Amino acid sequence: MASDRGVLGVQAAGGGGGSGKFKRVLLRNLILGLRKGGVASREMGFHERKDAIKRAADAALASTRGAAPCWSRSLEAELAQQLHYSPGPTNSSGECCKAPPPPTRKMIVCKKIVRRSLRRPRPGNATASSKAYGAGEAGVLAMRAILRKRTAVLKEIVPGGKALDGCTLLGETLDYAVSLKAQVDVMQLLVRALQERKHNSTGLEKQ
Amino acid sequence: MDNEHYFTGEYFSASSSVAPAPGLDDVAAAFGMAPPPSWGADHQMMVAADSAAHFDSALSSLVSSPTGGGGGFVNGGAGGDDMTIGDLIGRLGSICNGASANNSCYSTPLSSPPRGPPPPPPLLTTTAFRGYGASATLETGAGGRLSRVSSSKSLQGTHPAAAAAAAAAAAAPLETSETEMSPSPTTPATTDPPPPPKVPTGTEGSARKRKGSAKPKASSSSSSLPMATAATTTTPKRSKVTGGGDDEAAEPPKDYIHVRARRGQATDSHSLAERVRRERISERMKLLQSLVPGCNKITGKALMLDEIINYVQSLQRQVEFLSMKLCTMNPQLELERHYLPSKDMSNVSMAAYLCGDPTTATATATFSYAGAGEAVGDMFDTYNYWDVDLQTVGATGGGITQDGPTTTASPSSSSPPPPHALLPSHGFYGK
Repeated sequence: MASDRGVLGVQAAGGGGGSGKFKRVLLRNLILGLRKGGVASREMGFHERKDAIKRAADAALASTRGAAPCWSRSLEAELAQQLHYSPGPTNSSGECCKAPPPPTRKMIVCKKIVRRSLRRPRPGNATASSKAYGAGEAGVLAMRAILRKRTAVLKEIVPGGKALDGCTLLGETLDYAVSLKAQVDVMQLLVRALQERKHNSTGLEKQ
Repeated sequence: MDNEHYFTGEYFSASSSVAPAPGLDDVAAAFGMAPPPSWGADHQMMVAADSAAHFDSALSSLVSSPTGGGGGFVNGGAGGDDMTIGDLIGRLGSICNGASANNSCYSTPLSSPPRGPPPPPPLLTTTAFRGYGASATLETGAGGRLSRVSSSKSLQGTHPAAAAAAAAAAAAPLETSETEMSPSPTTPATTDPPPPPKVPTGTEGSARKRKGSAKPKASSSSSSLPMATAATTTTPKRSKVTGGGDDEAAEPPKDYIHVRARRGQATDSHSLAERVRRERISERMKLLQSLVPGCNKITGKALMLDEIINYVQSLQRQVEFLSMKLCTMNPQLELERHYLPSKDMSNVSMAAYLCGDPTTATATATFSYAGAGEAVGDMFDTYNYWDVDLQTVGATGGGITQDGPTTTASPSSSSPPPPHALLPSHGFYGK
């Protein structure tokens, strides 16, 4: 039985988007979230509804993925911030919003200090940039500028990426990309299912 | 330097308790999230497929043994998950077990902030890993930040098979194992480890949680080079070795990363740390390369970054488009009128997402939410639009496993809400 499920899980792994189990949990959370978002859908307007659905999808993704990756926690914090009000009746829900804080200032400062100390050219230990200056390699510098720009863009894209350094940022990007792919697949599945249901129901009405 | 909280993280420390429900309550209270399901079966399949290519028979014996030992904590995924652990243990053992290996180890203290006392949950993993002495070292750094390996502890009680495991004590496996260890301790210790999405076995390095096994592949090519140079480590290295080869047990338990300096390269601690960092970055780039479609031929960081950015942006745009589509398919609002506000939600500890987030799924939370859902469902004359049921979705959409229909216990009537059906022993929420 477990092996069957395992095999199916392997087969169901849609192109780098996560395993079947992940998608199932994601779908479940998505449906729950959309259902719960009944209050939100009372809003008028297409745009608000679309945003509500998108928020539900992001919330489902972040909660399915758990608290392990940094982007997940940051995404949750962003979503919590976007709420106009906190409908949780108890205090615990208010604390929940704040519970996973972004990296504290101390952590960021520590990281910066470490990085600065590593980057400072040691006497007799020429860093790459100084070598580039010495050798007159403008290309290297240009390349580095491009890299820096692109890393900055990536930091903006990945939630919570601003406080990460290059290496962890790449790791988070990997995780985030796979989760996003899973989310897209699940949402496509949902759309397809709803369309089929609509077709079926209209077909029955005609009969 | 880098805080490797990649996969373990707070999730691991927060939720790795023996009983899933209380641990998950904390997680849910803190984050309001559904614990990711256990990935045992899938992981087992995937890892088993790849393992044979890479690990010795010694390692396979390692793998088979923990299924008994870790069984109490692992939810059916022991074998598969421990494959990656077996790999790590093997590498650790080979690195720190042999005297010769230790002679040429060069320890580099990384300037990360010192670890606090390991959180209580590591007890769980240490018992799960009882067979592996090396794993005790993993937990010294646990709390998610497994960027260090202490060599001394790994020596004690190292599985004899691990000693026979291949892989020279090269820097690359160490660094990769360092990050490998981040995902691996979570997998067996927690009953519902974070979900490792699976890619078809064709694309190897791109599965998230399979990085433990994928990374050896990525690093095997790079490790072959250090292997050649391992024997020819410069002699100044040997003098710097702490503890020597004989009394490895007496070596003070420091949390250092043991990096082997390659021949003819600078051995300054700073350049070593930078080299470690650079290698990590290149590993990640390789994994990303296998993930993003059509990037096999692209070499170079800048172009790869460009492709990655495009890919992530396109995915985000797709999500937006699909949410728009879902929005148009939503019927008009008559249904939502009947929806009861969260009078039942007070039982549930949830983060306030939309309006009391239903996406949390602790064992208790789901039960109480299911109660609320049922009450709401009974009120409906018409069916709830979103009461799609995994069954229908699973039947129509082939992208999710075909045992979808079996998971929902309400095939005929639409009123019983799915959450009930999903709860029992599906493995979503641990037990």
